[in-house]
Amino acid sequence: MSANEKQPLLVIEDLWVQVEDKTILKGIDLTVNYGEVHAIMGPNGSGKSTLANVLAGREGYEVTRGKVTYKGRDLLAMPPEERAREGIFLAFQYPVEIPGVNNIYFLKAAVNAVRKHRGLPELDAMDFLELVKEKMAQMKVREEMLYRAVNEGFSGGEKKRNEILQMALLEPTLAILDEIDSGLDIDALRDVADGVNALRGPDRSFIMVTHYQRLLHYIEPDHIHVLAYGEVIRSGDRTLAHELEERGYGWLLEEAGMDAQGAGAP
Amino acid sequence: MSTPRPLQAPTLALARAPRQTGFPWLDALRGRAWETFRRVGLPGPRLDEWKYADTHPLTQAELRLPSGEMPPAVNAQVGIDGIDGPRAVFLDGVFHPGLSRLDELPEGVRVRPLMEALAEDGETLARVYGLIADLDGADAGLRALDLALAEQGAVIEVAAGTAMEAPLSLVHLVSDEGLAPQWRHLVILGEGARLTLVEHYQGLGTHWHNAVTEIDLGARAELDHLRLYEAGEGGVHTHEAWVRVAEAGRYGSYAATAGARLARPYTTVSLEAPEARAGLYGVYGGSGRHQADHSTRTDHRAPRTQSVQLFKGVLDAGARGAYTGRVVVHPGAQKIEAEQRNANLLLSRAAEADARPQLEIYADDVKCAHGAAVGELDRDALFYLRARGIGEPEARAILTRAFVEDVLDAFPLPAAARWARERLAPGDNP
Ligand SMILES: Nc1ncnc2c1ncn2[C@@H]1O[C@H](COP(=O)(O)OP(=O)(O)OP(=O)(O)O)[C@@H](O)[C@H]1O
Ligand SMILES: [Mg+2]
Repeated sequence: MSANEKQPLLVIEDLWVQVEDKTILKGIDLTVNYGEVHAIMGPNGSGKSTLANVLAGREGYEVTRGKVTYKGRDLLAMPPEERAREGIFLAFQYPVEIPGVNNIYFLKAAVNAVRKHRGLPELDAMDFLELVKEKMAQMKVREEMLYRAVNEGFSGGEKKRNEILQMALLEPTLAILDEIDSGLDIDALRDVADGVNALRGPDRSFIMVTHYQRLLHYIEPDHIHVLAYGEVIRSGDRTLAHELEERGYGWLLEEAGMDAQGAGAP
Repeated sequence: MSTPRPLQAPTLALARAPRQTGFPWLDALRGRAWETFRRVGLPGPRLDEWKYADTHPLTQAELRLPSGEMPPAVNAQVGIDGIDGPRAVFLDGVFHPGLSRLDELPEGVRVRPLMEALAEDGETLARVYGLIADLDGADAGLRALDLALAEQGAVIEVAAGTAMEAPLSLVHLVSDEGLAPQWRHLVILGEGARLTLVEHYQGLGTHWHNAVTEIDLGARAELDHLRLYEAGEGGVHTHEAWVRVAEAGRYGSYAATAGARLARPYTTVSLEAPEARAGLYGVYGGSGRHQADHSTRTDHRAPRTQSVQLFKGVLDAGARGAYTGRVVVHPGAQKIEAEQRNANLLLSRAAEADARPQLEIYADDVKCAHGAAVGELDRDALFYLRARGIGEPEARAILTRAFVEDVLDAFPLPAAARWARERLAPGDNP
């Protein structure tokens, strides 16, 4: 039993977010306790990645109302690197290619930045290689990918595995996985799910954005939220996923008073 | 015709008529060069070739020629970490045997101080010395001044068939305020000879290095020529490399300038016989009032000659960087290939980059390509790094280093690449 159990790790209150004068998130409320896995589902363009990006600190999003508290602190006041060092990890829906930067060099810089912040000694090249090889074996990432430029020319699946490798190396407190399952074949999906499950524990929480029930079959969430047109229109337990799989989003949108174009949304 | 800028006081103090050397052929040559300089004057933005190089610092600063006396050794580091091998060191404008290492040259390689070589072998050297870098053109001012006044430099000869493995360095260090040494180097490679030559120009405070390196490459000879300039806020480094390449010879130029009041490495390569090749690479960086102007001229004078150029700049607030690459394909030079690429990374809106690929083609069966780009750091990449805990300054440095990496990859000495990388984007090296 962890001392943290049922303590809130992340509290989002009435979060409104705008991109270039367009309001994308319209009053999100969400609490993630230590040890919980939350899934966020919803139609394309509903604001799932926007929420993930805002939590990670990406620029270009304007928070017009609301607040986000992480470990009791004002998350929105922290620069992205500080969020990362404090344990927030975003697995990107579209991992960025960085030509000219060696993957292993990047991974080591990241791990050491985070270790330094946590008061741990930085790893030298040898120790790091040992660590990364162990994690790569777990994540079934091919060693050759260490020596290529970050994500450059990686296949869709390789990019996702590289994200999970980073997560395993950085050992985050709150992992936000934005469509970590998209573009993965069945074996890769299982590997990625194994990687996530291996990290699950009472002191770590997950927010998983996904379109598919299948991922939730491998990684069982505690809560499922449906985001549509910038609002959470339904929250439930994992049975909600089965219902969505069978019935789609239409009935939920109707119940929320939205039509397919989002008209009627406040 | 543009009127030459009248000489101003500090430059006049510097530009006194050449003293007599006692060798008639040399005195005649220096006399002609002096006349040319008097006629065309200092170059400046009024000339198309110097459009992006402001020579005002040369007319405003108090500059003087070295006295010719041997200075005591300095405390500053001489040379570059990791570049070992033979070297000639010039301290405050004078060849310094004590700091040099020339006693263990392999057989077939000769390195002599300029005047010594000209005295010993005047007859032979007169056939090339001062003739590869011609004095034609309105932009000849600096090389004319250099030819008229230079008495320091090196004559490097590598005999046919000799390959020197260790790099040979020419280190020029000015530690005395206001010095303006004039350098002349002559490099002659016989058929099939190979050499890696490093020219390092260093200076503290206000100073001006004006240098010309003439290079004659025999058939199948290969020269890798690294040029590293370290000037600081008050330094002006102007350097012209004039190169002729014979059949199937190869010339590689790797120039790095990192912050100078003005750094202008100019390279002109004449590919004179079939299959001669040139690869010209350059990186430049700066901030504040730094100016870098990398200019090249490549003459394809024979069929199946090839040239590749890749230049990249990293410019922060206030800095100016320019690349001018002129490629001339002469009549009859069929089946040549010429490629020019230039890219600049602007770290601030207050930085300026100019790119001028210039092509003149008088043959019809040629492959020429050029491209120029100016951009900022990739915001998505920056966020990706920061989202992994890497602080913003380090993330910027990582991306900056990545930007110049393909140019530095071409540098034949890893220590030289490291030297340039550390100056363009300080931080941990990969
Ligand atoms: N930088 C931006 N500029 C303009 N519009 C944007 C920007 N980012 C997001 N949007 C818009 O915000 C809305 C929500 O986008 P978001 O990426 O958050 O959706 P999503 O729920 O993740 O969709 P998907 O399931 O397709 O990934 C979309 O209409 C999108 O076009
Ligand atoms: Mg998305």
